[in-house]
Amino acid sequence: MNDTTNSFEETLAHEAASAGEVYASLYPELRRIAHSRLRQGSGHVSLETTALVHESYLKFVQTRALHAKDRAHFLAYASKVMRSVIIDLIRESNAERRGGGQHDVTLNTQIAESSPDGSADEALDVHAALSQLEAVDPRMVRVVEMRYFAGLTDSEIAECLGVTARTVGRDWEKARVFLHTLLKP
Amino acid sequence: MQLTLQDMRTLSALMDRALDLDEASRKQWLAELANGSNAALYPQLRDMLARRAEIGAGFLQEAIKLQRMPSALNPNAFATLEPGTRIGAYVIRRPLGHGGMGVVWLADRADGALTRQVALKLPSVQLTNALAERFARERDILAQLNHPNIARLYDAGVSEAGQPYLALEYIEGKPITEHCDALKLSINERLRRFLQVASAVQYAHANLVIHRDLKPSNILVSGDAQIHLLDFGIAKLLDDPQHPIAETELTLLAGRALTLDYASPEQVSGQAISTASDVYSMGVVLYQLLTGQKPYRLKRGSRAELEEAIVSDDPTSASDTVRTGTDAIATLRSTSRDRLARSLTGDLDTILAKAMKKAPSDRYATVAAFAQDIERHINGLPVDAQPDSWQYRWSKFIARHRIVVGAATAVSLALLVGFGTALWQAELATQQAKRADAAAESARAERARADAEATAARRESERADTQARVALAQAARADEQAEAALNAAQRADRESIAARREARRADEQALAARREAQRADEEAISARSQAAFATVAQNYLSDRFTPSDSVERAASIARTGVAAEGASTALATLAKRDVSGASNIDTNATLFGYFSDLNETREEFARSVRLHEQAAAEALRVHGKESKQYAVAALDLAWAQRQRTPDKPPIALVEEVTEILKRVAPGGEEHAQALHFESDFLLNTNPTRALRAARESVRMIESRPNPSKWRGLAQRSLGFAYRALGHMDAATIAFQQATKSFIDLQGPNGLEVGATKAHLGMALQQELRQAEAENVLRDSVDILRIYRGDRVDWNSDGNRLGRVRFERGRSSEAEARMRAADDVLAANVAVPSDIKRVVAIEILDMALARGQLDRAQKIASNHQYRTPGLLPQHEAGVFVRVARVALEQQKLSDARRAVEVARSIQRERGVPFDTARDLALVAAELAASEGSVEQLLAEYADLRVRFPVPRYSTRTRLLIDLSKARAFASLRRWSDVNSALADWVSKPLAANQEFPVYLKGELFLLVGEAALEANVADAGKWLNEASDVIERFHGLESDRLARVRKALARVESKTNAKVRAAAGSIAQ
Repeated sequence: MNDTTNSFEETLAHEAASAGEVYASLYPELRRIAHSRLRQGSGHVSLETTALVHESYLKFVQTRALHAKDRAHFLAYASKVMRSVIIDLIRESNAERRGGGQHDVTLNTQIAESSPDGSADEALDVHAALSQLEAVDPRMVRVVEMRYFAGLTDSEIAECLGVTARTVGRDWEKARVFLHTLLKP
Repeated sequence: MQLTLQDMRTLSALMDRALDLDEASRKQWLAELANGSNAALYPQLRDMLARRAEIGAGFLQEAIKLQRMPSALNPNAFATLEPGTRIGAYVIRRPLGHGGMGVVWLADRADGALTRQVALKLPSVQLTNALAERFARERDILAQLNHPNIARLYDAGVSEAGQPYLALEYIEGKPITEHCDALKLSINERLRRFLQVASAVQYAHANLVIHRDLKPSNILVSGDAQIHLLDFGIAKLLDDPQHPIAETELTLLAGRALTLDYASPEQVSGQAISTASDVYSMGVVLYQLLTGQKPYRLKRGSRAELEEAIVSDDPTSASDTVRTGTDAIATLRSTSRDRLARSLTGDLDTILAKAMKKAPSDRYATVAAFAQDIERHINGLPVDAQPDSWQYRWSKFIARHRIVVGAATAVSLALLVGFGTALWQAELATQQAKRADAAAESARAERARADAEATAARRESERADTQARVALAQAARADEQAEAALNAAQRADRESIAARREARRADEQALAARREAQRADEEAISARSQAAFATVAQNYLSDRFTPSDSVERAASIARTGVAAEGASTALATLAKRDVSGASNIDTNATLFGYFSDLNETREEFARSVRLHEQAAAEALRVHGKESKQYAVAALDLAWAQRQRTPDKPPIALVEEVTEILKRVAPGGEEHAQALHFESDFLLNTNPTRALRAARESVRMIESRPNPSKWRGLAQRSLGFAYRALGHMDAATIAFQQATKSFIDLQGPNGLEVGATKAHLGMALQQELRQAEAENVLRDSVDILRIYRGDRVDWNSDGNRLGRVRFERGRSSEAEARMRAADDVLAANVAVPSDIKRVVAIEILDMALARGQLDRAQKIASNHQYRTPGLLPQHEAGVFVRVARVALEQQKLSDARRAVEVARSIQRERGVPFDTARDLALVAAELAASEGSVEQLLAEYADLRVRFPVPRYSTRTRLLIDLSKARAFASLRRWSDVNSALADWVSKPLAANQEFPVYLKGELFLLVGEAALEANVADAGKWLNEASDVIERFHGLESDRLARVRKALARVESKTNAKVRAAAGSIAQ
């Protein structure tokens, strides 16, 4: 926890190693849960990604033994996956709304056009901007992934990345400035 | 300057550093940077840090939350909306537009009754239970808005497909802004148009309806220059402050998503809306009419910026806007830019500013005040909005009297000119001096007059201010009260709605009674009523009437309108009578319960409990526990507690009292009472014990010589206990005895007589003693009509009578009732939803019994939503029928879904035995249709387990056996069909029993079909009987008739084959 760079590189290395295996099953799992959550119930439904991420972690713990240290890596990875899942969902929904939607198979998962905080469209922009910023400051991008797409707390993020919660807070602030600059020039 | 990737990385690192520093250190560090190695990046960095301060809280909030767009009740409803689709009573023709709330179509009536086109608004909103109820309640209020400048709401409802719709007057016109521009109307002309708008809004406010969404597109001007306001209160129609989920949906649909430009600050910040919000929106509309612009100047034009501006920034004054605007704007107002600015300066600026104040209480208190100020401006009078100063009023005074003042000056000039030579100049000078003095004197006088006028005017304006303040306070209070009143009305459940309708019907009844009274001597009637009151009071005192009984009687007398004033006094006297202190408190509570709404009743009951607790404590203190006094007080307390919370009767307390009375006053009337209470309280949880207690209670009371209300009550409780245990015949006897006791006490038309006869009728129905049931139920309805009015025709009482008549085969009466029921169901506005539900269930049963599946389907689809405000058997009852209809149509998944809904209601709320039985039976038949024999047998076996009633009534047994037979028939297990129905065929019913005709038809049909597989001769007999019944009571096109005819044809051919074979063998 002392040397920030080392812990983070460690994380990256670990990611690369188990990436293939974890990602392969995590993506469809999270997607399935997200879809069914959105489908469930009548009337207003909102999807809290935090719950999904933690839930998928529990599922994974049941099927394979993960060490405590692995939890942090898992959450970091799940956040990445969550980002893909959400962006895919939004894109699907937009396509559906614009004139697709002929297939009966898709149950009404249309995401609100104008949610009060405009999150749906914002999310697409954020995703694009983050892709540009990946080369600039990868840790900052991770923080945004975990906070914005997966809803993890600062201390959870700090644990994942091997930094202090205060660092996470600063990264977040910095990210907002960068993203604001890119998105609202 | 192009930034490289490396630059960006450096920037990122620099930001890290910058964010680490505090404000002061950062400034210094930045300064150093400007001259250091990264000087090139300094501008970027500075900009970013500046931007950091600007980022609103709304940008990149915490975790993203995806929200699902609420779907329509029928997700396919939108996909298949095409011209010609039928929605409710209307057929849609062409789309008119697509608002934030849903789509709007041009439509006309399907029956072509009136050639009137409507705008059919189809909100894309999920009809949650709460929403559906609100929908129903609010549209009543909106439908009453009747004003030439407000687009009518003709109708509102839910289509068969589950699509909610609003039928509004169709207006062809232009938004008011476009209209004024097209005609290049001047400022005054625009103001006059606006006054029309104001009068319409004021009318609506007077009727407690706030528009909430006033904007030019909602203010249309038709070809005849008439103003039409659209969408009045529609936003409120879909709003439900008690259920935040619905509120968010609304926000999604009709609030933030739409244009903010006309929204008031309190709407933007989500606070309470009032009539002042409409005033604000009107201010913005007027602003736009006069200046062609919106009031707030935005830098970036983002939504967040607009929100902030509305909430905290001052709008640009109208004259300023115009001055810095284009010439085109002035041209559209038939004037020049300068003149336009001048005409807006002063009054209009101030009027607009007042209308658009941030704080609602700073604005015009009413739309009428707003309009009045505008009128004053048009007429050159001082407006209210101006700060008070005598110079202002003086300038207005001068302006109005301009000519007069000018003339005086001209006259004095002429006087001076009339003089010639220097000789006269001295004289002239003196004259001048004199005249100057005089002028000065008159000017002083004038000035004094003006001062006096100004003072008077100031006093006037002060008074007006005070009045305005008072009016403002009153209006604010009225607004609060209106809002509170609306909220209170919205909080009340169906009983309060019924109470209001009751009052209306009471009025109607009063009118009818008054007409009758004109035939007799009015004074005599009045005297009789007084006498009746006296009798009621006396009977109450002598314990012949229960409290609710007295109240209902007294109220029904009061309803005749003759003794109305005496009524409340008399009732109050009844309430206050001082007999044993505590025991009249219940009367109070019951009285309140009758006349006011539910909240007050609950409070009264709570108060009653508190008072009874005190009384009991007192008795305990003075007489000790083992005393009759304490026991009586505790009994009263137990009763009060039970009235307050009927679901949790205080069983333990009553048991304790019974024990005490057993010791201190056994066999007495109080002991019998206590046992009666015990029986009553235990009925739902332990009917066996309830029966024991009731029996003991009856025994005790019957041995006493004086008749009292307790006798009838105890006997009735005995009936309830028997009924709960399935002993219908015993229950019948008990109810008959109770009826007789009540007749002895109250006469043949007593309220309790009517109520008990209803229970008697129900028990008789269970035993298929149809003829007796019909008589008794008809009596019951006639008696109850005296006390409850004509609603008895359509509530559970009328429902039961209708049912027994139908079951006895009077098909033309049934058809008439069904048609009348259609009217009841179709009446959107006047009938409460609980009555509708009960009627719907009754008609569904009738339609099902007669094989009229289309009719049943139609009704079913209109009532397929959950309404927790109803009794559980009514909420679930519809779904049981829906499952049946679907089953008949072989739509198995629909049937399964309906069964699941009904089951979930059963789990959540619990349902009475009949409903549970019907649900179980349809579930079993569904299992049969799905081919699962094991499942089927399991369901029937399960019945006994789930309903451990010691005995099933005859009706229940018949229904179960028929259900089994149906199920086995669908699996073609004919021997099982036979065994299920054997008893019914071999053992005739008792002389006083009848089969419900449609069940008889089905019974014979099934027996006939089973016999067809075995012995032909018998089959023919049964099938012919079935055919008779079915033909008479089903439609000729019905499925069942076709089925029986097909079976008969098979019999025919089999017989012919046999005959041919026999003939053949004989020939040989």
